[in-house]
Amino acid sequence: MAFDKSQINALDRLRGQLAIAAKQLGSARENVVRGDPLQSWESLQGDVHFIVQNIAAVQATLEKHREFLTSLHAYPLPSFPGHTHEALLQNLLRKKLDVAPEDWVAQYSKSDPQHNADGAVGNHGIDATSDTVNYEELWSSVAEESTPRARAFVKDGAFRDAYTTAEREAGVTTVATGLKREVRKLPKDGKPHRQSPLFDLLGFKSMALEVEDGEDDEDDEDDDEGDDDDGEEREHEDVYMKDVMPGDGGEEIPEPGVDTTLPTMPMETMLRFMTTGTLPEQR
Amino acid sequence: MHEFSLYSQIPATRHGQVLQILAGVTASQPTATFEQTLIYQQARLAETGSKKAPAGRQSAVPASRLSYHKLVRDLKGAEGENAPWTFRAEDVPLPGMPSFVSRATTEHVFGEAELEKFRQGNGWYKYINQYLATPGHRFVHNNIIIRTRRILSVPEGTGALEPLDAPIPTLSDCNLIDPSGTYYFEARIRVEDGGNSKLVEQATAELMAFKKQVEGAIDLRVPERLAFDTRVKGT
Repeated sequence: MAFDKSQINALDRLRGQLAIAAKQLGSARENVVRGDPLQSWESLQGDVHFIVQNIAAVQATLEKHREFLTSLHAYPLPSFPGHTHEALLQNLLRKKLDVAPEDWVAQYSKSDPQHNADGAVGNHGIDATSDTVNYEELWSSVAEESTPRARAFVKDGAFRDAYTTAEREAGVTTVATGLKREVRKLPKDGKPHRQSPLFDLLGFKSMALEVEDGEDDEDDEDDDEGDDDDGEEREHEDVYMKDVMPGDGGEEIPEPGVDTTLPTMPMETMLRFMTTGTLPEQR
Repeated sequence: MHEFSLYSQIPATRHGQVLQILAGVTASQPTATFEQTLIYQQARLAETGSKKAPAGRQSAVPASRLSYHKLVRDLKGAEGENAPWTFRAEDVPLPGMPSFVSRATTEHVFGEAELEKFRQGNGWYKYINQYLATPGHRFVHNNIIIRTRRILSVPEGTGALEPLDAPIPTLSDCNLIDPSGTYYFEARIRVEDGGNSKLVEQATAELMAFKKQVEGAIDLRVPERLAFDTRVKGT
């Protein structure tokens, strides 16, 4: 033949990869069909991963030798036993895809011009899986779908209690929380209902569920939780905190004789005083 | 003994926060300190030369070597008023050290006999001034002594009595020297023998590492060398 070495290698490699792909797909299919119950999702995941990897490799090879492969054309030598193995011959020479693959190709080729590598060796056409699945849509739909579910959670008071049901049953005092100080007793201060910080985030205006549309993303929820906590409950926490630190705590304790608005004395002046005893000029 | 130190200023509003940061870094709580320091000026050179820098430069030294010395005592301890005085002599920092202050210092606890020299009329020392360092806190982190304190000046009246023996001035009478209420921060490492280069290197490395560690929270820097000048002017 008039092919050079690299081209033959390409063909060989492609053949090998396709064989592997076929085998993997076959075995995955077997697992799914045979497994009772369905096999663990980790192994499913693993299988899918391998398959995808392999197909990616196939694609890479195709891409690399695209010109060559697309211009290939198979034809039988006269020495091929055409009479005895006619069906086989038909199979080998067929270029038209089956119905289903043809539809897939049509559907996914819309978004990207994918070259339909109908290689000379292929039994069925390989549909070029489109890489450009629309992730944008997916992510934005997540927010809309999960917010109502989260709302339901909060509405049912799932987050209200600080202990799990199991802990409650066993007795709240036996729980090893690792906290050294009283964090926050349940409020007896007559507030009608202590709102969970999630309320504001999820768009609840009050206990009567007034649901806003177009809520914020879930991603920010974790950050916001911390902030909300600060505002509402910080005052309560400080009451119970016992620290060894001198209690400057962030509050400005006005001290007599100290005027923090004055500019700081330069360090050298102070050091000079400490060394020689010469007082800086009094204001 | 040789000392390497770095300094910083902490505004009053940040003081609590800085103490917390230091507690986190050193994994310990601060110890409150209350120090009284008396500053004396040498009236004449000591014969033994032990009150000056231990480098032994006394041979051809002219009178301009008169320096300021300090007596320090810790008033927080159990002894309170009767705490022993520690004598401290600091040398001018070595020049050419941009990253930290390096100076030779001497410290001894003085007994009664030596303290006599400091009393008036003995001609050895002339009393200049004193200050109180309170409120103050101290941390020890590996080999670094970290101190933050405010400096208060003592009202005039106590000069009448011998300052060594005078009762501790009442805090309410004392004024802050720096009215903005800034705290003075010092990180210091002491090395017994300034000549041992290995030790010196180790000490300075530790100090620099500490500086790096608190960088951003506390900016340690090297003040002007002459602010530490202990030489008496005009003699």
